[in-house]
Amino acid sequence: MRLEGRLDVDSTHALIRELFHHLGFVMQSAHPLKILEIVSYVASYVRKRDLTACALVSKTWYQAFNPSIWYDISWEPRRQFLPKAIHRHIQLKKGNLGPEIPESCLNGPRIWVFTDPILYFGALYLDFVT
Amino acid sequence: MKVTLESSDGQVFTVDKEVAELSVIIKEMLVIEQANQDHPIPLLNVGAVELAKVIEYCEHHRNDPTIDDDEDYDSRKKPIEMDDWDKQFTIVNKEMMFELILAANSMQVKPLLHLGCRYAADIVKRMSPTEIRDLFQIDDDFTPEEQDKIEWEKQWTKL
Repeated sequence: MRLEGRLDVDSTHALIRELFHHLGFVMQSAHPLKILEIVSYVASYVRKRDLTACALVSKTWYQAFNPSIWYDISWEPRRQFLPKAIHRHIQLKKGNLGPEIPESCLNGPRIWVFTDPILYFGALYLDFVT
Repeated sequence: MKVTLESSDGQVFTVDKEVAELSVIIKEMLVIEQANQDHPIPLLNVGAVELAKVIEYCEHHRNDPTIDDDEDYDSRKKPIEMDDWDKQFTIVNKEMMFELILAANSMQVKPLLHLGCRYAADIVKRMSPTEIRDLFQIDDDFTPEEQDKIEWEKQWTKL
């Protein structure tokens, strides 16, 4: 196809529409729950007890739900305790020995714990023994 | 002031400007195309049925305060209000809701997008990963190594 002269607005719109009709089958096969952005929104509405099940659905879901499973506690600098142990905890995680934690938690005096309060103590315990 | 919108299958809808402006995309388009008001705005990946639903939603929520920041939507911190109208609105089958989520996503109608995501979150309540996969037709794309890693993580999260 050869385009001649200047395109006016109407024919441009018609052209774009035609193009989209050709691509139509691609557009329709899009599944909202395979799009990371949308799944992340879903993640913010899922109850805590369902988070782990959702994270195990697929890679995209895992990516979307992982930040919700983990959350961070940041201390006031003066109230920080056991900085060395926390550092080791993070090192341990970096060495891929513990569950995956998002990159963002590796900077700053933070420790990432499970949403489950009982397991939270489990994570702290790890700090003491290692 | 009126704005005309055109769905992917060529149907034209005329709505008030402030209704259309609930869509971030249209709002931005209107700023750019100020001089060119006599042409309908083409929404090339939104069908007529979905567009009608989206407009219905926007008409009802035209006076709502706009929330631009995604952070404000984090339901665990601050649940968004869902009135009776919204509840009535979400009584549709899941295919329709998925189409609406896609439409809301492409038009960037944030409140509707979040309403749809909330609907999806309600469906997955108390479901196992396999059930969710079957229901939404999502493929299990974890490799065997990742499966092992997940099995290992599972013992941490006490699934």
